[in-house]
Amino acid sequence: MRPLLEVSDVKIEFSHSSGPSTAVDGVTFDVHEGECVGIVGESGSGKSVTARSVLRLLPSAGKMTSGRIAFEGEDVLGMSELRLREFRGGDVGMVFQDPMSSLNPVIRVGPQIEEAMLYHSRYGGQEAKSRVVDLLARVQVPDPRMRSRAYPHQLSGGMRQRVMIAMAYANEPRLLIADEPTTALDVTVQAQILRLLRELGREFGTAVILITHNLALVADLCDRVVVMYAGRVVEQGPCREVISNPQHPYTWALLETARQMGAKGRKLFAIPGSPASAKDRIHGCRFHPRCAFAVDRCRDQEPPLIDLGGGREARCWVLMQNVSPDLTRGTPQ
Amino acid sequence: MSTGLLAEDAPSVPTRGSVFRMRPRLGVSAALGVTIVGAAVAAALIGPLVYRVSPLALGASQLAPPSLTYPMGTDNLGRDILARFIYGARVSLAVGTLSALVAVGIGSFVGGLAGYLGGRADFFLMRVTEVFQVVPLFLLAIIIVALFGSGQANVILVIGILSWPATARIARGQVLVLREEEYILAAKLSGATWARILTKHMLPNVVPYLVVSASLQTGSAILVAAFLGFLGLGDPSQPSWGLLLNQGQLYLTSAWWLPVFPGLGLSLTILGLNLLGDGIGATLSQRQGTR
Amino acid sequence: MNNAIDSDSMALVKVDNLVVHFHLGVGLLNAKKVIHAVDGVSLELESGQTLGLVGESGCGKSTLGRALVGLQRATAGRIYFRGVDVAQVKSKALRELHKHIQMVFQDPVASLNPRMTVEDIIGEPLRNYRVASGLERRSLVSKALEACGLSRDMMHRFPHEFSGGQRQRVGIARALVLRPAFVVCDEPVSALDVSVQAQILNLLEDLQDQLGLTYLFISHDLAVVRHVAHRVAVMYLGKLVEVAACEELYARPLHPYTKAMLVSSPGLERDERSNERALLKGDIPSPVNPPSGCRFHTRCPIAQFPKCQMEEPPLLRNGTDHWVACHFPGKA
Repeated sequence: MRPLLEVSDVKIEFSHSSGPSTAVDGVTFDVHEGECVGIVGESGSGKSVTARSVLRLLPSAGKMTSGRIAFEGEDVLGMSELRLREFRGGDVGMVFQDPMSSLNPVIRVGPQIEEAMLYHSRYGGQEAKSRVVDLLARVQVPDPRMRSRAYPHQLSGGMRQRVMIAMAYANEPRLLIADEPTTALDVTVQAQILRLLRELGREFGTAVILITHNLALVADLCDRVVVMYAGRVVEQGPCREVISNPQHPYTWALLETARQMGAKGRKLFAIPGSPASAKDRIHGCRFHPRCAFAVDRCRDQEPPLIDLGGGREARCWVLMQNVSPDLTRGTPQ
Repeated sequence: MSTGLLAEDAPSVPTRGSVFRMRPRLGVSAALGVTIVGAAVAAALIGPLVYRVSPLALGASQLAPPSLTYPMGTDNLGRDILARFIYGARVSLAVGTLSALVAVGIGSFVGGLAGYLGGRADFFLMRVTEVFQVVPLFLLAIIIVALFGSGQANVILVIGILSWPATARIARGQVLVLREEEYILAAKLSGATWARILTKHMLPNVVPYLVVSASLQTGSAILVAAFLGFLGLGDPSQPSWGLLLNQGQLYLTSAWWLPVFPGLGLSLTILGLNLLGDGIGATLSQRQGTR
Repeated sequence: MNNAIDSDSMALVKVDNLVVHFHLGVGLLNAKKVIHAVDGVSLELESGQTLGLVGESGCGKSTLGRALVGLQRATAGRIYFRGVDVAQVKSKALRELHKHIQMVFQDPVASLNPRMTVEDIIGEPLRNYRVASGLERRSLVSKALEACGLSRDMMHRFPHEFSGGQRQRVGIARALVLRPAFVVCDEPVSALDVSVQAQILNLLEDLQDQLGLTYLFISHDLAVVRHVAHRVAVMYLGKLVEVAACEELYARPLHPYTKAMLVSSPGLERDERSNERALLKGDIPSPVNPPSGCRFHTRCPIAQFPKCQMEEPPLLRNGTDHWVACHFPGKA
């Protein structure tokens, strides 16, 4: 079955006064209908830029230099302005990290949601208003009728994010892209929002792309995970398997850090150095300077994505399955 | 190497001096501003050395139109307009710059203090600022010059003393923002006295905004000075652009080169200063944006 | 000076009923709004130990941290440092205090002056307190850099040339260059990438061992706190709801809020899967108008009326070194 979204070998550059720099260097992944895919990465990984490029929302300095993005087989880059407007908000919805900057502070939230619907000429007038109240109720906003008359600053962070989600779902999109939707929220609210996203996804049959730096969130929510580092995909596969049996040293290291963090005991395992970005010129495997298991080949040649079967891939010469167990136990900093 | 959502962007904080390094992305207008102001300054400084004609020398050829001998023509007393134009550039730029310096000096002090001290001191200083703002600059300038004489020093002082409120607001705004910055709090924790915080920690971060303000102030100071000169209230012994306009206005239809060249000089220079100020301002907000 | 000397206490820092209120609103017509940021908090910190302070936005943990450091004036209450009340000290005495009490800030970008070199930044306290000058100062600065895992050739560079983790190390070096006894760490790793957080936590722990430091470690991340803290205090809307030894809190949370936070925190090793029941409803109320009685009753899954709505529960002992402010502790 054809995937809902196909991202193929996408490369994105940003232009600076000092010359162009690569942000994303050949990223490939698919999203199927109804599936929840988590894209995990730290600073410089290019995960947000990749997500935005799906909706052609790159800043003016950014440009996709090669690759293809197809939604239901249709080329996103070739879309006309008209089609693009239908596409954004209609076929694909997006939820950003900071709801305050995504909502217009001088318009009440109800009309903002209505406006989102208006563009896609699904509903109008009274019907739209009552649908807004419905949507707000669906995203668990208490007292939705009254809340729809509120201005964004009168709502808490959690409420605003729910409004964003309501806006994103207003036109029953086939795909929802959530870029760090809970990073700015408190822990107890985070959990509610994530559960909401999962439920809505199931209810509407919407596929979800969840972008985050937190592997633990992905573990709870997603079917598949794509791990990005320095502008490349370094591992992908079914979530449960990748997390229980990571093959790329970076994925393994992230999981190891997270695991140790939540437990007691001195001296955490820590990956040395700082996360690289695509524009850093690193010869060979981009992760090798920080990798505890690197061998000579890693320094000389960048590994391709190796198919591990069962929908799993990892970009590594060594692969964790080949690493002796005593090396992974108590790995020094 | 940087944090933030689009980590692939340029460094988010300006390097020392980099604010003034023009980047190609800065835009046509700012580049234009630099060019124009640069040309004006060059004319003022080097002009008299290159074009060695006295601006005061009376000549035989009166009201001569622009030609090869007289690139900008001559006036009713046979004086070379180009020479007077170059000299006028000197005077106007000097008056403009000095007035702006006085204005920015007073303004940054008052505004900075108000922003830093806050509370009642802020309240009081801002009311004082508003009083000065309310006074109509041109009117007062005319009155004072008419009463106390039109020497250049007077003109500079008047303009400077009456234009500082704009800079005061900018300085105060910036200090208010900086006051809550973590590195300022850290400076307090490092035992810095308020004087050190203002001078070493805050000032360098306020200076770019003051430069913008100075640029714009220079433009408006030149305009005010020219206006005074146009009204005949400027220093009659110095051929400033305003004075040239004053002398040339009668000849607008008959010998257009008398008023038009100084007029163009004024407009372009002020335009250039505004573009320059805007350009630096745009760089600053770009940098703030990527933070 | 009203310095009450509390000679009974062995603790390095003792906070007694600290209150910090912010007054908003000017004018005769607007009712004066008061933010009850910290509303009567009492704590103790033993020398050489780390007290974790957790809570979500609006709970007042950052305000409390700043009050302890002297960046925020306390409205009422006392702060004893080595037995001397320092809550209301000003200017000169406050500057003196900063030789002993320091802070590490959250944002590695904002906490370093972009126009100063690393050497100047770390050397600032040395300069202001006239501890050393010239070559001696440079030597102390480079020692501090090395102690924090940075190399001395970074001295002449500017903050923007470094990564978030490196910048945070500079901030730590600056805080420690005067060898303070007590350091308030305000979300020191929250703004860092996951892979870097562990490095910084290790550094903080190493320095604590080497220099005998006492930390107040403020964070919203329960996993991080679990790792570093010896004891943990949980705050909600300006009040302490639970205080206990670290492992005790994580193993046996008694307050429903603590329980909810633990369940909601991604990344914590949990014995059972996410407990849907323990997930809270609603959002955090505003500190301008805290709920009556127990402040948590509006979101509490086990709140009982009218008691929880009318009566504010005091912080009471419940087991050895375990304190909780709840009418029905352990029932969630």
